Amino acid sequence: MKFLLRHSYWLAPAIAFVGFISYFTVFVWFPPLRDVPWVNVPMVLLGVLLGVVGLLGGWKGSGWRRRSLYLGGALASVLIAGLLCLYIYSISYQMPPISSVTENLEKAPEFSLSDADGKMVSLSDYRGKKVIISFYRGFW
Amino acid sequence: MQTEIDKFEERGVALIGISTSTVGEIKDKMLPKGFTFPLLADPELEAIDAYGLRHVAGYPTGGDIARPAVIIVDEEGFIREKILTENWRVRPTAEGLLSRL
Repeated sequence: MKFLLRHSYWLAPAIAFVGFISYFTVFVWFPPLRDVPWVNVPMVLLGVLLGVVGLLGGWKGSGWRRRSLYLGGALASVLIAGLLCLYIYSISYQMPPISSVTENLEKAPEFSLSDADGKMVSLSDYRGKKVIISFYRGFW
Repeated sequence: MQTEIDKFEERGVALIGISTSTVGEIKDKMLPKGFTFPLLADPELEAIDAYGLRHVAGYPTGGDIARPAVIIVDEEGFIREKILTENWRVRPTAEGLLSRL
């Protein structure tokens, strides 16, 4: 515990950073953890907690150099946690309203597009079969 | 959806994915993740526009992409369901889709 607090100035932002990055690299692939970020939000909050507790604990009896380290660490973890929460609770909700084109569709418009092998795939290839078309944002 | 693909196949349902990713991007970035159903490249947003699903400037650097949506088409080519999300992080689950078929 003492070790944790002594080193909180870099551990706290590190934990927050891992919580931030792993959301986008690992947890987005697990729908339950992507929809409700059970792992990542607690993780960045843990970083903030450690940063703040380390700052409060280390403030007394430290020189200015050490104080600024703790302060910087706490601020960095707050910043990272803030960014993740901003993305999850605000940015990802910014979607256009559902268009009237989509709303009025009854018959599925035909399309012919290339798959990863360069082969053309059309919706009409699937006539007689139920099809689930998933439009996705693409990989980035 | 990929992890439940057997259940979709069992029920005779085909899966198709569509995005603005190019053939090269799909090959490099998506196929290594183990997708076996066709992922189609729609960089000109032809199909995306036909379904009214363009998200203007939805790409973080400003390009247009598709908003996430799942369209269920029946055997005759009629749309059975349109499942759209208000938050691009939240998408229908495979179990949820299977129960709606």
